[in-house]
Amino acid sequence: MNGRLRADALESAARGAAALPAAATALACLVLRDHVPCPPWIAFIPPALAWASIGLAGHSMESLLMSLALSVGLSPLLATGMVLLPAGPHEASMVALIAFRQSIAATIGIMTPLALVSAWIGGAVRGLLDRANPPTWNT
Amino acid sequence: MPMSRLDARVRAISHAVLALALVASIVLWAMVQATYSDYVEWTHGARAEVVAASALWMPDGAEIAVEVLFTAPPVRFQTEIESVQFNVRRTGVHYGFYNIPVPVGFVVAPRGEGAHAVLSLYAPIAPENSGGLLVGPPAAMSGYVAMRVHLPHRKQIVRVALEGDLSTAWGVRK
Repeated sequence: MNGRLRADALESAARGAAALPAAATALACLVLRDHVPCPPWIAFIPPALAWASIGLAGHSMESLLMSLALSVGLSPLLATGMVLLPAGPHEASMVALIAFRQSIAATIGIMTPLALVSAWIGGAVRGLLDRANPPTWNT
Repeated sequence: MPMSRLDARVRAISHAVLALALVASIVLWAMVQATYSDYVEWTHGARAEVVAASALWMPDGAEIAVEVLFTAPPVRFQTEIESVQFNVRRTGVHYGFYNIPVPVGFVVAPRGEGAHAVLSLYAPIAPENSGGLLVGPPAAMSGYVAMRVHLPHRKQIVRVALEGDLSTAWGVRK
């Protein structure tokens, strides 16, 4: 049982880590919206897909929330790092502060609701599939 | 517990969607990063210097004639000079703020090419400043060249620092 729990926790952490770059990219694109060559809302499609896929996987509620918390919670830090990368040393602190502040605001206002709604949609699709084809437990 | 066939299939789809999202975000970031780092490098590399500047008596008053050399590395978006703005001071005395607009659509360099432009600009000196400015030793100019940068979603104003000496008609009578 312990091994199963550990495997579940590891899988949810891996899924959260896989969704993290998509979430951070969306935040970084929001901070650098003037440089995005397409409409800025397009940047939110990859994280929405990633979170929907996490919901679709049909894990327990704890695992699902752990994956979402990992990807949403760490995304402002990663986004700040991504924006900071080409900045010169004399302007780094100002760029970091602006990027982090905007990323936190977008995480609270956009990413958290988007993560919950996307995961819920993924879970709903999974529920529909399960209802249409009840499990037979045959391999 | 063995996995049902549906469960295995749904998990495979879930993995594929997650991988697709990851690849899409990497591609998107590569595109944004290319433009953004280009912009950062350009702002670090853009330079403006005063080649020659003088304040002169003219038949109908006095004017400042200034030549500015502007250089910038190649960049993937269009850049235009909007105006040259500077203050003139000598030993703590302010002799006016000068805003010399450059003709609309003056493109410094086509997209993807470096800039190397010399601007010859003129501005009248207000009568209250001309008397004091022209009869003293050279004054100091400090300001910036205001650039209009055409980013994918916005026209951004970038200020490039400009400093130099303004020679005067010191010793020359009107």
